[in-house]
Amino acid sequence: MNAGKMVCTACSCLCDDIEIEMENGTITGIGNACRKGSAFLFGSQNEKQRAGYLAKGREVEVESALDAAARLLSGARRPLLFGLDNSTLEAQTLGIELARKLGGVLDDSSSFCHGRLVEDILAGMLPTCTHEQIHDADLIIYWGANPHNAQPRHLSRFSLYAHRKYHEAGVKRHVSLAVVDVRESETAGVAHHFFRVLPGEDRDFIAAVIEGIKGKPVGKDAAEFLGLLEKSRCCVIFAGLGLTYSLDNDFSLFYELIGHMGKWLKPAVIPMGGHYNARGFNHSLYNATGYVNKVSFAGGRVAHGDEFSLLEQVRSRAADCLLVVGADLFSALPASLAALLDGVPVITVDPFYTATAGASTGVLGAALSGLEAGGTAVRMDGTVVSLAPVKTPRHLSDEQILKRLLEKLG
Amino acid sequence: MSKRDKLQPLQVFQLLPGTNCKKCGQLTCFAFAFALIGRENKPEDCPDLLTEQYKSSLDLLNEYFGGEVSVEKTGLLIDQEKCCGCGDCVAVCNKCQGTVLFGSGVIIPRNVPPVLKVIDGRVQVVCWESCKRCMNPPEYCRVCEERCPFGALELVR
Repeated sequence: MNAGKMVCTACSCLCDDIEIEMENGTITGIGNACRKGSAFLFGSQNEKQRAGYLAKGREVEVESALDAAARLLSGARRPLLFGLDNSTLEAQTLGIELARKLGGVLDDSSSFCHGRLVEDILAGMLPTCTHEQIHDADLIIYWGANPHNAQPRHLSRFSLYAHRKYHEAGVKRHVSLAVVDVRESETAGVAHHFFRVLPGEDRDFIAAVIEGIKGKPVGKDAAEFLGLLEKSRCCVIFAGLGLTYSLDNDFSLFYELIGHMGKWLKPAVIPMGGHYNARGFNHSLYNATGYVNKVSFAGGRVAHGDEFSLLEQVRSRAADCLLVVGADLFSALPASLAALLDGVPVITVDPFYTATAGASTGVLGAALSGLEAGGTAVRMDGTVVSLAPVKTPRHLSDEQILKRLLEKLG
Repeated sequence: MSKRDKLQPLQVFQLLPGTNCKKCGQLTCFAFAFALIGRENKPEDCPDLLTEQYKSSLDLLNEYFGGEVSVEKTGLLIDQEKCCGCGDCVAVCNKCQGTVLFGSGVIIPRNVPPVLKVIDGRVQVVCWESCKRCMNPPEYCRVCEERCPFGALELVR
């Protein structure tokens, strides 16, 4: 039975053309989804991988698990809410409300990923565009990103191959693909231009290009890159984590380059977020507080600062209770930092039984957004996408879980 | 195998004994090299390769051309292990489904169903008849193979 089309929530592409075939409530075939998406959707049917409702390692009823979680949260003096990147916008709104009610700290993975870029885009400091506007571009640059691994369908569905003017035939190329990376990745292998930079030397490369713009003599690579920019009229830069980590969150030189580019072409920057609704969390929190991450609601006031980031909170042992929603903290954190969470009660809300769920005091298994639960999400380019479920859920959605927790906390 | 490590006919020929003994059924060792690339013959079909002297050549050839593959109809080999289902081949193939009127800049769309489709995370041939290689006269397009970033596609003819 063809169950129709759905939105895949395996990565931030949010591909909305996924064809699902189902028999007796089981997925038997998936069309158009990449290997990552297919594994994600097929994996959701493996009951061993799914999280149930647990309290202190024992399987309990939903109500008992919710009660236990609510007790832990209400008893905490400095609770930390982390995640919500893999939750719908509706759940994120409730998560922010929950953090406000608890007077806790709220952060997500964007504090060590693309948070700064998204914040500047939302503040209007950095030009951006949507995937639909890429058709105007004649130069597409992936900087520090390898979409063929992280967002496999990005080129075929949203950028180069989806471009209206792209064609293999003909002498004149209407749209070019350039990659700036530390290694010859799969994307670099199919790119028209590849610029290799040494690890951590993106700043030097940007500085060299700016020098070239000012008319000073520069190296071969920088001159070639500048030549591409000079020929372009509209350029879209997909900023990957390679750029963010290389610049160590200091984007001043990158913004200077974008500013110079703006004198003769139309530049746009799109951060290549990882989680399907990471940008949505930034949008939700920005609308609610004016910040995209690292927020504290202690004392009924909104405070923002690096001390409220997950890493600092864990390092300083500030948090006395953790609510992790849709994130695998213990897999992502270095072992030295994860060890600091020893003795801190952790409550996990996740569709899958992750390493974090295994180390948690309370586990609340959630329905899989897009497949089992509906809502809305924000794609990496800022477009709002509606998720319509195609399967009947056996678990509560993260939105319902957070709503119930809010009710229980009064 | 990626584009970088794909064996060319001359490279295959250099691994063969070069005796032109015809025991494999081909007229020359060079013809056997082409037959290996086209998966019409297997490395074991050459009796000389089975001797100790050519053991290293046989191992290398088996790495590239060993295993059970069927290319009878399409000539398109898809390495399911390497394919990540990115759909680049599907997109570029669909973009190329047109006849180019050279000199005029006009591309006449063929309006045929897609040749390839990503099913369960891997690309599969769903309508080989739509491929430009099946036209009369055929157009030996290789765009899917050329644009695959993982080298998962190989056209052996």
